[in-house]
Amino acid sequence: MDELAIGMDLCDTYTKISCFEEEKSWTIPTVICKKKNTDEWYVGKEAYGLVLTGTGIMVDKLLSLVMKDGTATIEGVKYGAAELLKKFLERVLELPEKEFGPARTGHIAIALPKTEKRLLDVLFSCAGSMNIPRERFHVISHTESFVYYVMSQKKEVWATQVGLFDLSDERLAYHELKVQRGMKRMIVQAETQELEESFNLDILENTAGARMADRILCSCGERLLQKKLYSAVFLTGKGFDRLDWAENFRKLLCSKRRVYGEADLFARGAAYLAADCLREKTAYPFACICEGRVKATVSVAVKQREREVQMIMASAGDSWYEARSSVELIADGQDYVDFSITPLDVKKKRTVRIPLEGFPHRPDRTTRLAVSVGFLDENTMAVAIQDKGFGELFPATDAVVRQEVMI
Amino acid sequence: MSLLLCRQESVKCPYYVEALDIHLYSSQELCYVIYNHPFLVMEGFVDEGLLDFIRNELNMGALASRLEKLRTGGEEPDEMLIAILSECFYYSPGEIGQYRLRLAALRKKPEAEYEKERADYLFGIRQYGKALEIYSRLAERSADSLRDNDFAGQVWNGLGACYARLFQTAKAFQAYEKAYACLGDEAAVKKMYFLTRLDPALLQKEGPLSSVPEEKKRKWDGEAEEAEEKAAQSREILKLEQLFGRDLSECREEAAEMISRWKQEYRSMI
Repeated sequence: MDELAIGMDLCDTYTKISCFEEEKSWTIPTVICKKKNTDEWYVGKEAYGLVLTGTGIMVDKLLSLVMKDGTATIEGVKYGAAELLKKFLERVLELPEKEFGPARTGHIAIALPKTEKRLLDVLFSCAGSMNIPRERFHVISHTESFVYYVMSQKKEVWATQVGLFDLSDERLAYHELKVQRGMKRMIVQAETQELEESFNLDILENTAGARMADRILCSCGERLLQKKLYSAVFLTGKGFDRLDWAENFRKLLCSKRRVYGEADLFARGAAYLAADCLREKTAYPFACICEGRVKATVSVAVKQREREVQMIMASAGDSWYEARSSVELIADGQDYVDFSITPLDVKKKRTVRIPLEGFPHRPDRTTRLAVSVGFLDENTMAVAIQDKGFGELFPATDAVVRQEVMI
Repeated sequence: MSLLLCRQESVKCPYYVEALDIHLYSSQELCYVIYNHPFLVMEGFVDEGLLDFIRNELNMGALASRLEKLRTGGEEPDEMLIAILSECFYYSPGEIGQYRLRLAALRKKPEAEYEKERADYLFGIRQYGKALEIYSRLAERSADSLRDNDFAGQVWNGLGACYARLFQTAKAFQAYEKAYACLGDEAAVKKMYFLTRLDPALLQKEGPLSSVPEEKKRKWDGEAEEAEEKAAQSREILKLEQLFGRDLSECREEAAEMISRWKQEYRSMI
């Protein structure tokens, strides 16, 4: 591949960068530092160096700052969180560019622990102001990145269930993936549980703390892995950089299971997605149902050329952030719109009826409806139905119905 | 009950239907007009302008070519209307079948009856000038050629209504007088009486009005006054009064716009 596919694991405390088919990767703290009395900004070791010498002012936890729409005042100047994150991303993306050449950047995929709307909005706005074309910038969840990572391995790795323990300063999470075959299209379903038993990694520095951490993980492992058949279990995160403290957990995992350690798993998973975007035909011909993706197909029954068809408004597996569609329909004798919500388990299919309250009464087929669907998060669909009238014969009114529907 | 999926039609230049004073922006609106206004579309509706609209704005080149062929081949004009309805899928095949029968039934009607219904339709859509032309033509025919007195009376009645709407009160009065002669209906006399309220010069010593009892006239006066009161409360009148209440220099532009709209409205009636 001529163009570079960059994957980034963007967390509140650290950021990892990896490039498809390139060995070299980077791990740097998610901080930005301004050199005093200049307009120079630094990340990574240089940032810490400036702080240690007292010549720089540092801002950390950039994602938290964005989430609370915070600001940081440096040398009397107030900087918004989005601006600081942009400066950070600009400098971080310079790392692979310096290594492999700036002209090579093709697609960039960022994996986040959680795909919150506010953070997504800011990231896409940063990409826009960095002149990164919208179609070349992707944001996914850790879970989805795990899916791309696993599905890029040999088939035997994902033959049955695949588990992943992620232990970092920020959280202890368990991800699980299974592949459903035998349907029209292969489906990969992945779920994530944030475990309450998370702990500060500093406790690993002393024997008693390490023993306790081992016990915590063993208890989690027994609870989560029991009676399930795994084709592989992965470990990732700073907590698993070394495993000497987790002897019992290691024994539990390795009993009749293949266990792999991958420090940059989320960054590499994101890089696999970025690389796939460079291909003409996808190497991942499956629907992915996981965090950040819509879990059910939303459709409306419409009549087209005298035949009833289901008009798909959003498909299971679409990114909720990008899933939005609009269609114009003409109401023929009905004063409501029915949305069919079909999850993977079709037995759980249901219909949500939205009445056209406040719409004017007109003869049949003289009310054109603009039906728009978008998502506020992966579980909440926002529907807007607007009266478009019927040309000059029946002019439009400002009647509109808005409703949020839980998927 | 269903929801119809609309064709994607990005119409930049809508099609103007002068008789209805509306612009059409979609194939569905075109079908609606064809289906609901048969008298409007049965004669020469499918012309070059409409074909251009179908071809270039609705992006239905195949339909336009088919219509062109039907048009140049001198086929039944109704077939062109049916072709448009069938191609747009706005009406069901059953409804299109009914429409075809409706057109055929209209075509089968005796010419005078068809013409009169057409004039009635034009009157209904406020095309008084065009309706008047047809009613006059029918009225001009000798009494023998018209089917019966009833029919002639309805024609004179329609003619009177058209003249009245065009503020030609004297001609309207005469037409109602003839309608009364044919029908012997009190309704025509009542209309004549109402016309005299607008134009007192029409009052005659002789004729049907002279035999109306005073009591009835008082009753009609009451009805007329009630209608006048109701009209005085209409939005247009209230707006006009508001306009008169303001300083002329302030509302000159608004008044000019209103007069221009009235002129346009009146012109489209004749």
